[in-house]
Amino acid sequence: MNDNGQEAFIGNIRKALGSGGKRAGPDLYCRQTDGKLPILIDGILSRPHSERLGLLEKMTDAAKPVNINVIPVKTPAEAGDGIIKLACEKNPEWGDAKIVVLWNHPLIRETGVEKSLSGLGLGVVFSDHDAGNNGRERFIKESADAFIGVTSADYCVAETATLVLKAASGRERSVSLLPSIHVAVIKLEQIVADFKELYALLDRDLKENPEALDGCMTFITGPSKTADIEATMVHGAHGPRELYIYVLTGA
Amino acid sequence: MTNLTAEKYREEAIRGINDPVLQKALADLQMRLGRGAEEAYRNLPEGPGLRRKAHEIRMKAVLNLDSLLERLSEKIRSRGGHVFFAKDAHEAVKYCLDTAKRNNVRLAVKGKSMLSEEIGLNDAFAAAGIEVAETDLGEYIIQLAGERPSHIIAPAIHKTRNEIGLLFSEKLGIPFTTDPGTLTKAARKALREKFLSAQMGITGCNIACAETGHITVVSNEGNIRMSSTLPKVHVALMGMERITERLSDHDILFRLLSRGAAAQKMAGYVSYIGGPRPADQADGPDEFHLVIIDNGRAKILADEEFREMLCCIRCGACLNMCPVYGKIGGHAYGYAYSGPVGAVVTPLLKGINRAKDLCLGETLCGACRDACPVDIDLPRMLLLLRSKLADGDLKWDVRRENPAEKIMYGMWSGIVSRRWTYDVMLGLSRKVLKPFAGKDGMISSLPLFMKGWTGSRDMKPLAKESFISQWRKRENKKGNDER
Amino acid sequence: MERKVTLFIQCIIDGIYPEVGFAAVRIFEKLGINVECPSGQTCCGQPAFNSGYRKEARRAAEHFISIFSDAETIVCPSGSCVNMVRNHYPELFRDDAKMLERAKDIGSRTFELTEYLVDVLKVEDLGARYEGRITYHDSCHLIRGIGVIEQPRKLIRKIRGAELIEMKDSDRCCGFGGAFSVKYPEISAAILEDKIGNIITSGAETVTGCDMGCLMNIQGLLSRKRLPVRALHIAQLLGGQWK
Repeated sequence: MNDNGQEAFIGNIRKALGSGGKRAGPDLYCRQTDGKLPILIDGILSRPHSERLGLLEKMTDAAKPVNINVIPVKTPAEAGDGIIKLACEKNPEWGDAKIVVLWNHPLIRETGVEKSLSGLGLGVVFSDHDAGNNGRERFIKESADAFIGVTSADYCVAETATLVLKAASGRERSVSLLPSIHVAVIKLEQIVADFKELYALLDRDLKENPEALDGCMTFITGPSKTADIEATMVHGAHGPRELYIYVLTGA
Repeated sequence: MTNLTAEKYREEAIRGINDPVLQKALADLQMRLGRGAEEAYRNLPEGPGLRRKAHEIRMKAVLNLDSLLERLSEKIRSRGGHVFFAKDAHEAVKYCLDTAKRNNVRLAVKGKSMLSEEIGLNDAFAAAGIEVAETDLGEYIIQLAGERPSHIIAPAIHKTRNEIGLLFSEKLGIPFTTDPGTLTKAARKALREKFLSAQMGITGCNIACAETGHITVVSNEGNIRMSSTLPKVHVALMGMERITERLSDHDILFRLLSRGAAAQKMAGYVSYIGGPRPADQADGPDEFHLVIIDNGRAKILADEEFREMLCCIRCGACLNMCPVYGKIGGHAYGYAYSGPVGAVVTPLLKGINRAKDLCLGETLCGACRDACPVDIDLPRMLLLLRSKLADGDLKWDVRRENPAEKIMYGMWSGIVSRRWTYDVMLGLSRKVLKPFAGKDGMISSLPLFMKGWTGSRDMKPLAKESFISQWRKRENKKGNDER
Repeated sequence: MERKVTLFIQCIIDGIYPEVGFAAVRIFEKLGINVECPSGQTCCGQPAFNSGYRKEARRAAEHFISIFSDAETIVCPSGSCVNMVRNHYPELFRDDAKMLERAKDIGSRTFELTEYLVDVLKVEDLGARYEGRITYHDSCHLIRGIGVIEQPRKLIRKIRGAELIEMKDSDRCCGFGGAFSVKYPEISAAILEDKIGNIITSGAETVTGCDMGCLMNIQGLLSRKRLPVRALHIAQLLGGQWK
């Protein structure tokens, strides 16, 4: 009967709260029924293009103080060109080999960056489907050897230039974590105004598919940093030292 | 278990006050983060009143803790994660050690976790021959130095770049430098190797979400992401109260946490973790263990007057505004939790008499209450702790700390219940203090228990005649004049 | 109808700084308001309460309530005392419904001096005169307990000949904390040193405030350091009673 101590523990809590048996907690996890949420979501989804460009501007302003480079581009190919340029100009932090690790994501494929990188003789790794036990260790090593990691994102919060990444097969966490440079390619439509809007959409995602958030989800606001030495801000602690976000604004 | 050294409060406080490096570091920190958070709250779109809403969210979770924890546990288990409920530090440490041994762990990487300090995890692992590498830069520094953290968010605030430079050149073998960028790079390199080779990652948990069944971890450095993604086994330690009901609660809680802790609009990295990696993902841990810890929290929960303390999200905002902490630093509090939060939590967890200086050693200025992102009334609870020390308390096993003082206040309460006795006391005091007044009219040395005052400052002597006495005379004269 | 206030004099003012009490009286005389002052008053009980002695504080509170029960309007030149009466008396009488009622009632009739002048009487200019630069210390219970921040400043700005200079961290504790100053004197003094530093840096020759506890503390270190800055209660500036 090993419930890992749960019954006694929860029993203790109930005793402390002064409740005898199991409590119903009827009002927990209730969805709001005041109709505000659907209106908010509608507003987000039907936002006019001009307003979206306004959010991009807001995002760009928010990005500066946290050392994020926001680059608007019209087409995926342009984003691809930008990534190639980075790969050519930047030097790897660890070792000499220039390897780029990429999410296996339609938007990344559209940039055509895979072909161009191979063409230049740079190593390319895609997030691995074959994730058996050795596959895990192998993939982590490959990500660790890469100097640029290219991902997309699910959302981006304009208020703070925060990227929201849900982990999935082919969209692994290491890609935005281990390489020294993180590049994200997103669409203009993925930018939401603030965290209120983000959580409204996450709520909706959850409602439509209860397993939607089962995996790991990460919010990324800028490259890693620390101020632990005499309160002096240093960019580049353990995660990436640089972050570039390409935003596809369309033609 | 981490040893409590709260008995050394006074001694450590004086040491802190006389440390010019610490003084400057604390002054800078409080100006930047404390005042910064103040302004950040003011600039919230909803205004600083949002803190009260956050309080309500936290309180609702506390009052439904049993249901929330059940749901969290159910969801995590459904994804193949393990959930262990630890009654106390001993059980929690044993579970972590067993898990480590079962997985042949030789090296564990660890994100900053005050809870791990509270339960004494590092020492237990070291005793078992397992290396625990602190990965938060501040914690890494003090681990190398063999010291204890002095601030919840900035553990190495008391160390100069010079000291760190010497430490790194000695322990890491790098050429001596005091440049923070270079020093950080050295730590980055050293720890990267550890992240990639550790068999276990240990983290805390900021605020779990019952609705979706996730824990969350927050950092700016990325070390917690590393610790929870790369090693095969991830163990997360969670104080049982660190949970909220719904996902949308996080909108408010994370915005406030980031502002309170570091005057940021949003922390650098926030990760939602709900279990081990799904089979089709190439990274993430194979095993996920959530250790939910009581260690005295149920007792706090049971006391309606202290229950509010469980709303705390350990952001450190109160430290950043406290004038006492700003002078004495974190080590004086003698336990994992320093500052105003430590002053309330440590006595409740470790013993009110033992930690009496933590209860009594503040001015009750109230700055902490204003700084708290979830609007916890810390001064109210400090006053309550003081009343337990004064009168004793059965439930909390408190004995009267100062019986002589109790008698004195008893006499005092009789004296102030009627004016004539009060006048007698004033008259006596005047006589006793008269010889102490100096040429300039000020007293520079007071006797007995009052000598603490005059150690550093002068005291105005009692007036020749009290206001009330002079007033009476005035009124009498007026009465006579009118007749 | 004759305007009248009942003066609640803080124990520190009563015993050590009676001139502050008379300054407060003078303010009301200038405004043509009668001042009553029950001579049976002693102490609001705060010292006992802050040290944890609630039963003892309660006795003091009972005496206070009986002394002031007939007063329509109670005014006190001390923010911390008003905070005690308004915010802590109800706590002391939690389990006595009748006394709780009386406590709440008396709390609603008790005002801090500057709060009463500005918010109730709607007066800011008292015709006061004081030459020099004045800096103002925000006492903790005054700002955080009863929310009085702007009122004293409004009054100071109307003093002829005076210039109000804000010091750095005016709202930071001065380190008094009642018994704390005697029980943890090193910490108290360290906090006070910062406050004195800020006062000096402001360039003002006078520091004022609404709480004599704080000012007594500040004056103590100014005196020990032989600094030329005067510490005066705002009542003294407004009532002309500082000589």
